[in-house]
Amino acid sequence: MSTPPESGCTLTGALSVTAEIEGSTTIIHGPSGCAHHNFSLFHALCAGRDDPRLPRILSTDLGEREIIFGGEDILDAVIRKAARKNPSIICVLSTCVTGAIGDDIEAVCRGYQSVPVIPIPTAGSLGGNFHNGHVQALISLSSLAVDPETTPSVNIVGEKTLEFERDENYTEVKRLLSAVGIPIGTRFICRSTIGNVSRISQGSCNILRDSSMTIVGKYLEKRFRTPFIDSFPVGLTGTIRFLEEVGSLFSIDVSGAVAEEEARQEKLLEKFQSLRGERVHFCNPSGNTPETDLCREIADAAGITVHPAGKPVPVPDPFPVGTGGIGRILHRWRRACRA
Amino acid sequence: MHECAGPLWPCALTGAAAALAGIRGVGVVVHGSLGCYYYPSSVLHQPLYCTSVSERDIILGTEDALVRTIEKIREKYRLIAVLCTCIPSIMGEDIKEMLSDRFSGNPGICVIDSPGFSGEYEEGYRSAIRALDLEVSEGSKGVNVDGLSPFDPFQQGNLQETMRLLALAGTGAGGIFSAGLYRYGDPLSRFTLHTNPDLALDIGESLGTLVGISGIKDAAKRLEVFSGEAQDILERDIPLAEEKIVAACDRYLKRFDPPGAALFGQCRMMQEIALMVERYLDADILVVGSRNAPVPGRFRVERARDYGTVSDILSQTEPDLVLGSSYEKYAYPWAAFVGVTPPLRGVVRLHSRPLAGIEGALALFESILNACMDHAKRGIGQSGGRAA
Repeated sequence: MSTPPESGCTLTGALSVTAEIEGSTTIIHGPSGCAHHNFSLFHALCAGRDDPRLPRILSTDLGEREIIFGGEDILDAVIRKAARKNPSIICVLSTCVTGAIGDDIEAVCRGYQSVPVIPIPTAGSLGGNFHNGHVQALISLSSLAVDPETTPSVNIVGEKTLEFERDENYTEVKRLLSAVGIPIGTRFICRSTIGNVSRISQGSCNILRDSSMTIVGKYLEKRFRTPFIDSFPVGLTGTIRFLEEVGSLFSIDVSGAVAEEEARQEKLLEKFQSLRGERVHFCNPSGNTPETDLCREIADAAGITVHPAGKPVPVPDPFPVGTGGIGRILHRWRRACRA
Repeated sequence: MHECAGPLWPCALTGAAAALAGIRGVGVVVHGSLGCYYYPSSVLHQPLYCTSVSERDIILGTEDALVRTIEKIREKYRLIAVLCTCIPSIMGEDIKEMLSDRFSGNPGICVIDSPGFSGEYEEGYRSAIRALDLEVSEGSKGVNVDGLSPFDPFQQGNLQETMRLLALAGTGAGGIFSAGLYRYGDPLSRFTLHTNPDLALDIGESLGTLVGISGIKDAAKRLEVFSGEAQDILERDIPLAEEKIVAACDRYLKRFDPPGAALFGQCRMMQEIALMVERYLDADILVVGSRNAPVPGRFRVERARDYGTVSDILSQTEPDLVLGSSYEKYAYPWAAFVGVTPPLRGVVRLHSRPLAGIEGALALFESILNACMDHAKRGIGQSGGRAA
C-alpha cells in the first residue's frame, strides 16, 4: 500500500481514550519519536480548543541498546517513577518497536498494586490503525469495572474524543435523553474520572458513538449483559428513531418527546425557508455514502433539489448529531448557496 | 534515566523526510508502519509515500511491500529515497542489496537509514542530504542556501529574506535546501549560506550564517569577497537595522527593566538569538533550553526536549520573557512570549515572517519589544501573575 489515508496509528487511537481519564499517565513504551508524534497532536488539539491542559504522556525513550537487550527493565523503572506521582491510573502502550523485539509488557505491568497499571496491546501500526487502538483501549479499560449492579441510566461509549464537535454532539444526545427522562451514567471514555470508568458495568444501556464501535458494544454486552444502541442519532428520521429505540429499551412512553422533537424539526426547517427551491449537489470525496443519503433526506425536507448542476455543498463527515446537527448543516449549505 | 515526559522534538525520520521532500525530483518513501508516515506527512504538507509495513511483513519480510510502493511511483521521480524506519532497521534486512536485485543495480534509488531510535531531527536532516552524494560544480553561479525546512514556520520568510540579500549582493541562489526549489541533479555552487546553524550542511565553502546581526555582518563580508557587490548590505542596511533596534530597545529601557529571558529551541540558533537579546536589550539570559544535542556557548545550556523538563526549567528560572514554541507558551503563561521554535500552535499565522537575515532580526525585536511591553502593561509580574 502506498500513500495511506491521513489518520493516526494505533497509539493515537489508544491515547485518544487514555488521555481522557482525569489524572492519568500514559507510558508509550518505545523510541521517543513515537510519543512525540502523539504529544504534538494533542498539543495542537488542546491549542485549537484553548485548553492549556496537556495529557501526561511519558516515553521510555528506547535507544539502540534497548533494541538489542530488551526494554523491560526500563519500562519497569519508568512505571515506578510515574507511580510516585500518584496518578489515578497508568496505561502502558506498546509500539511497533517493542512488539518487534518481544518485550513482555503484561508481565511488567502485573507487578504493581498501589496504582492500576493497565497494559494496552497497541504495537503501533503493526497492531492496526487508529480505530483498532481506540477499540483496544476501551476493551482493556473495561477491566476496571467493579460493580455489576444496574442503574436506570445510559452510558455513552466510544466518543471520538479528537473530534472537533465532540462536546456539541454529546450535548445534543444529552438533550434528547433528558427529553425522555433518562440520565447519563458514564462517558466511556471522555473527560472521565477513574470512578466513572469503573462504573461502566452499571448502566442499563450503552449508546455507541457510531457503528464502528459495535465491537466494543458487543464486548460490553457479553461481559455485563448491557444492551446497546449502535449509534448517536443522525438525520431527521434517525433522531426520532433514536428516541423510540430508547423508549423501547426502557419500556417507557416517548410519544410526547417524539411529538416535541418533530415540532422542533419543523421549526428548524422553517428557519431555512430561503433555501427552498435551491439546487445543490453534494461534494463527497468518498462517493455515495450513508452520509450522502442523510443529506438527501434533509434536502428533501427543506425543499432543496439535488442536481449535478447545483451549487456544491459539503457532506459532513462525521455527520453532526441530532436535530441540532441538522441546523449546523443547513447553515453551512446556506452559506455555500449565498457564496 | 530514560523517562521522557512529553517528548517535544521530532526524530531522525522526520528530519530526513523534511530534507528530501523539499527537493524536486525526489520521491520519498517512508519504509515502515503507518504511524511513522502519519506525523511527517501531517506536519510537512509534502507528498510522501509509505510502505505501510504490517505484522505479516515482519514475519515474511518487507521486500514485497517496498517493491510494490517503489514500482507505483518510480516513473514520477528522478530519485526514489527510501527512508528506513525503526522496524526495518530492527529486522536487519539488507534493503540496498534487496533493491539492487529487484531493480538491476537500483539506479535512481537511494536507501537511507533513519530509524527514530538512532538520533534526532537535525541528524536525520543532514544525513539524508549527505546520502544524496551531491557535488559542487566549479562553473556554477550563485550561492547555495541551506537550513530551510517545511517543518519550520519561518521557512518561507527566511527564504525570501535570503533571496533579497543575495540579490542585493548582486548574486542569486544556487541549490536551495529544502524548500521545493532545488531540483535533484542540478549543479550546485561552491559556496553556501546557512539560514539555520543547526541544519548547516557540508556543501562547498561556507559563507556563514544569517542568524544574528554579527553573523549577518560576517556573512555579508564573505559575500562581498565573493561577489564584490555587498557594500550596500554592509554599509547601509545592517547599520540602519542595528540603529533601529538600538533606538527601539533604548526607548524600552527608559521605562522598563530588561527582562530575564529563557530561550528554547535548536541550540546554536537559540544561542545566536540570545547573544542579540543580551547585546541590544541588556537582557539577563537565564537559560538556553536545547531541543537537540547541546553545544557549549556563552550561556547556561540545559537539554530541554520534553515537556516535563521544560516545565521544571521554567518554574525554576521564572523568566519575564520566553522565546520558544507554543509548548513553552502553555507551560509558563506568566511570561511575555515570542514564538521562534516550531510548533507555534493556537495562533493565526498568514504572512511569511523571517527569523534569519536583517528582516529576521528586525521582526524578532519587534515581537520581543511588543510582547515585553504588553506584558509589562498588563502588570503581570512573575509571582503575582502566577498567583492570580
